[in-house]
Amino acid sequence: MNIGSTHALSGPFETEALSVVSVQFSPVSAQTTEDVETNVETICDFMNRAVGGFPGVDLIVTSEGALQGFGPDCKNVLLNYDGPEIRRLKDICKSLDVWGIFCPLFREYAGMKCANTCIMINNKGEIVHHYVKMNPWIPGETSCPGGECPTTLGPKGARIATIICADGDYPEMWRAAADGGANVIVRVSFDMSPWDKAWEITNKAMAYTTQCYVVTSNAVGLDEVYSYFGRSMILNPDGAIITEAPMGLPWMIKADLYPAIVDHTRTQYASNNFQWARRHRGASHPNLAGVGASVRAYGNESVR
Amino acid sequence: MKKYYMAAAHNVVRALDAGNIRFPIGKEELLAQVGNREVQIDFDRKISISEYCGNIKIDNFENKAQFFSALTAANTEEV
Repeated sequence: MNIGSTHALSGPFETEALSVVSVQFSPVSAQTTEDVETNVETICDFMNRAVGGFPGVDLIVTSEGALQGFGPDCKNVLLNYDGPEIRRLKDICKSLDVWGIFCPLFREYAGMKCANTCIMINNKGEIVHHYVKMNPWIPGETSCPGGECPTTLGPKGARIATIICADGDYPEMWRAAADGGANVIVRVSFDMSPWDKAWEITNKAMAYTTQCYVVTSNAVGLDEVYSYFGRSMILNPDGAIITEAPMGLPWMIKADLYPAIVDHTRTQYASNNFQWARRHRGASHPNLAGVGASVRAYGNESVR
Repeated sequence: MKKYYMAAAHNVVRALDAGNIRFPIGKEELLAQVGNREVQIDFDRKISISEYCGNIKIDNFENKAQFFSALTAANTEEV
């Protein structure tokens, strides 16, 4: 970091490192409550492993489907918001003093039946963030789409937005996260062959265009139908991969991020300040005099 | 081949840094802090920041991108 602008990133600013671990493993394609319990146990094992291997970690990210898989029976093992599986995740976050991101398929959340939901639990064991996948992978996924992409204050100056798997194929989802003030966008996935190259392309491209850190976690392994490739990765706001897990293996990756750098770029980038420039097109033209034209003037305000 | 003086923007950045300019900032405040500083904008021309910014048409700069866009616009002739 940092190659995003031609101009130097001037001026002092304070920042604190956000230490992130992303976990990838092969969850059981759950058919029973016992299968879900097995997956929760695996998640807890990885969290214990993460704090052991990376002392001081602030945030641990797990993949979509890590609790239930995404097999034909996953709708038979939907979770309750206040069920024992979620309580266990709350407890381990509190006991390890870490934040965690998990992706349960809830029986119901906020009136939505079968809600593929990304939750963030803080280090006190409280759920502080909810995001319901807005772009279920149709026609294969029958979850109810959510309606908003919130940003939530996380540890160490992070403002975290989450998107889920196929959401990442839609640039407007990433933009919504950045527009909401995110400096770290977390993409949790259960992504499979043949999209392992698209996975890298979209993660890189949207880290670059949103100028946010991107943290991803993707499952590995096989279920009844698909092969899940892994390749969880953490990326710089300039689109460069900081670290990447291998294809197909259970793994953990770790990086220290500096969210305040992203905030500083929003005011200090002169060139390539995309979040500002896209709403002030042509601002250097003498007639547009530092204001520029809005996207509305071009008839494509829908990108906002 | 004609040679161009290419350091003008760099010199402005140095002047802003020397004056501890932070964005967002109003034009009036910016000029109060660094308006008197001279910057070289061509091989044979130095002017004050105030003069360089004289034709800027907006009063507030949300960020550095807006400042430099406004500065460029103010010193560009219409085609």
